[in-house]
Formats: sequence, C-alpha cells, structure tokens
Amino acid sequence: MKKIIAMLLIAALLLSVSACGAKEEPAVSVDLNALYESYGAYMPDMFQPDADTMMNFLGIDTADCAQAVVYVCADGMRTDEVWLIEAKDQAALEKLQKLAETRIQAKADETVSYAPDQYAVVEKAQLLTNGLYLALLVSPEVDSLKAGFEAAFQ
Amino acid sequence: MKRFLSCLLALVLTFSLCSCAAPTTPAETPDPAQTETAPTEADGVPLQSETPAETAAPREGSLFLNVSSINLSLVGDSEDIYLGMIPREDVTFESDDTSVVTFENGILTATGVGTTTVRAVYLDRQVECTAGCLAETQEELDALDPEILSAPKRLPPVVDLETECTYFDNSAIVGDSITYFMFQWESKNNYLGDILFLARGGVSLNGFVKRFKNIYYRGSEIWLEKAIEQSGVDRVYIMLGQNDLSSKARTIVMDNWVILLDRIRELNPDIQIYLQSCIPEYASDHSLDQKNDRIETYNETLREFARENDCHFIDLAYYIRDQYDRMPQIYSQGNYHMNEAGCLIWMQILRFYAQYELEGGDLS
Repeated sequence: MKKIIAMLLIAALLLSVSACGAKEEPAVSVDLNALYESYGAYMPDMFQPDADTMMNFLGIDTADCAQAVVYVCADGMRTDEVWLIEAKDQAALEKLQKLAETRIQAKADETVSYAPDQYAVVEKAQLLTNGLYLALLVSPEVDSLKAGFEAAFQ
Repeated sequence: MKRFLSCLLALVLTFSLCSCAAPTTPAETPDPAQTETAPTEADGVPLQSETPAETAAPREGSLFLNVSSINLSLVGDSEDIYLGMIPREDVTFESDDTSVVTFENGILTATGVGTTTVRAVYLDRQVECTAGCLAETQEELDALDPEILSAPKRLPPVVDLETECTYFDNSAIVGDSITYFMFQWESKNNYLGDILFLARGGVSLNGFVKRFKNIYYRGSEIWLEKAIEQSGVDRVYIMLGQNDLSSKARTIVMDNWVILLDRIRELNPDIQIYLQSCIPEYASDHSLDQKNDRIETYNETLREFARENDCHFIDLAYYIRDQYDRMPQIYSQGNYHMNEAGCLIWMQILRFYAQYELEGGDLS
C-alpha cells in the first residue's frame, strides 16, 4: 500500500513539475518593440542606448540576445528604465538576469542618498522572465508595465 | 664691324629682356588673397603705417575668444577673453561702443551700462562676441530683476552640436551624478560622438581612493583605473570633488587626487588627463553661497594642481555662473545637477575646447 501511495505521489509530482515547465515555455513569440511601444503612455523622455553603450554601461552583450529593446530615461532626475530582452539560450538568460540584478542594485545605490522618491521606484522594480524572455521594469507605473508584459504571452 | 654690331645688338636685347622681366617678379606682385580680404579703414579697422603683415609672413591659426557673450557686472570690471592663437601684439582689438566696454590687448573693461559687440581681427580673420555691463554700482546691480541676475554671465563660443564629432571617440568622461545626468542627455543625440561615460551617482575621490564606491563597467563594479585600462581610451575627462567638498578638507581632497592620478597613470601610462572644474550650485535664497565659495577656491587649487601634474584643465565653472557666482537658474535641476540646457552648454564647451586643441591650443 505504502509503495502505491509513494508511486502515486511521485507521479503527481512529475505531472506538476511538467505542468510548471509547460507554463514557463512561452506559447507565442513576442515582438518586444511592439510591446515597448504599448508602454508609450507610461514612459517619460527615454533614450535607447546603442550596442556599445549597452555593453559598456549595462553589460548587455547583443550577442546574447535574440531581441533587445532597452530604454533608459533621458532625464537625470528619474530612474525609469526598461529592458525587454529575448535571450539566445538559457545560459544567456541567466547572465542577463544577473546583470539586471546588478543594475537594480546600482540604481538603488545611486538614488538612496539624494533621491528618496526615485529610490522608492527602484525598490518596486520588477525582474520578470517567461521562457527565454526577460523584463527589467523600473518605473512608477511598474504594475501597468508588468501587466503588459504578462499579457503579451497570453 | 659686323661682329661689333651683333655684340651691341645682343647687349641691347639682353637689357630689354631684363627690364621686361622686372615688373613681373613675385616680390612686387600683390597677393590677391591679401588684397581682397585684408580689413581696410572702411571696414572699421584702423590702418597702421607698418602692420606686422608687411614686415613678416602672415601667421597661421584661427582667432579664439573664450566666450560668445559676456555680461560684466559693474563698471570697472575687466576680464581677459582672448585665447589666441595669434600673438596679442599682432591682433587688432575693437569695440563698437567704447562707452560700454573697451577691448584692449584681449582684455574687456566695462565703462558703462549697455551691450555692444567686440572683435579681434588679424588680416582676413576675425572673431567677435557680445559684451555688456549691467550696472554702475552694486546697489544698482542688486536692484535688477532676479531673472537677469540668475541668467548665465557668460556663454561659450557657439558650436554646431549637430555636426558629426569624432574627437571624443577614444575618450572617457568620469564623474558623479552630475556627469551621469549629462550621460543621459548626451545619449539622446550623441553630441560627443562615441565618448565613453564612466559615471555613477554618489561617487567621490575619497570613494575611489578608499575603493568603497567604484565604477560599473560592462556589468561589473570595478576600480576606476581598471575600467579606464579595459576601455583602452587615450583621453579621460574627469570631474570629481563635488561630493568630497562637503565633508573633506581641501588638502585631503587634493591628496586623494594625487593617489587617484598615480593609480590611473600606473595602468595607463600614456593617457591624457583632463581635469574639469566643479560647477557651482544654485539656490535662489543664496543659502549655497558659502559652498560655492569653497567650490571656487577648490577650482583654483585644481587649476594649479593640473598645471603641476601634467594634466589639461577645462574650467567648466567659468561658464556655469550667474551674476552671484551661482549656477544659472536656467541650467539648474535641483540644487547641484544640471538639466538638459545646462548639459548642452557643457557639451558645447567640450566641443569648443576640442576644436581649440585641434588648432594648436594648449589647455595645460
């Protein structure tokens, strides 16, 4: 009896794990430029770093990306920043996740002492993934941006 | 007899040829370029009985003034605005209205309230700027509209930022949040070409020297000198000190400069280092005036330090001042950062001095 229960439990676990895995695989291919354009209403004056600046300033190597849509706020008093990236593979995704975490930490360091309102924005920053897609969202409208990212995969 | 006659004929022919050739020798042929473009009395340039151009070959190089516009505060104030490249003694300095300012030997002196145009002229080259004076006395100055008093005292020479710039392609600019703000505005238009920004909010000389706040480069936090080394740039523009002056004595700040430059040069022995003066801060109620005095004193020390330590010096603060030596209000974002207008002026200053250096100017 114990053996049957144990086997049933393992079967249930395997099913749930495979279901989780299925959920992480995006069913659709997302056009990240179109997604960013849908954020237009929430974005202040932003600039799009070129490949060199992405590498030097953020550490993002475009060779790791199938798509990379990165925008940084042009106004120094605001900390808004959006990364929408499709990684080339799992290893690239993990690398990009680490870069995004470093970036959030850097932005927190930069704002904590002299821009408490912006620090509050950084504290609510979202780092999201879906399959090989990654989003770093730093914005006072982060909830709306997050909803947009999630909706893109439905 | 025939032989005598033919000798005589040959002699006459030789003489006649010589006298024909004489008027066409280059020495006596006027240089069309000079005669067409040199200033004349009708152009408002007083003719001298013996100009240097008549006694020596024309000098190479452009004429530079360090401003496109300047408003001296009070009658009697004076300022040297001539940057070269032609020696002053060879240049004619003119003022359109000497009852407002005189312009002699490159030095402006305010003589009355108003605005006029001054210029430096050498042969066919000339450069001009707007020069004025705001008040006869301090009381009159203080009574002026606050908008006038908080406007920029000086504007840099005009540079068309839209024209492509490659001068900074192998350069880095290092600084704290003030530079970081400029990075954000510059990146919109790339007015400094492919310059590399090594900027981070809150960094200081002390932080770099003690290693507790470094630079993010290519996704990692690394020491400043390492980032410079890895980037492979051959010029670095640095503005630091603003975050040190509030809590550190000037002598400590300068000691930290020595350490930082030694470290940079140890890893980057051939690098050209440009120190930029710190900019004043803005407060409408003058509550930052004392800090601004400290910044000014620090900048003078930094200028001397640059000279003694084989660095170039760009006096950014010279242009970022109103009539009370604060940051002009129109450049201000918060108390100590510059907005887009201020950052555009900064880029213009860097572009102007790049041009100045390209034409042989010396910033050391």
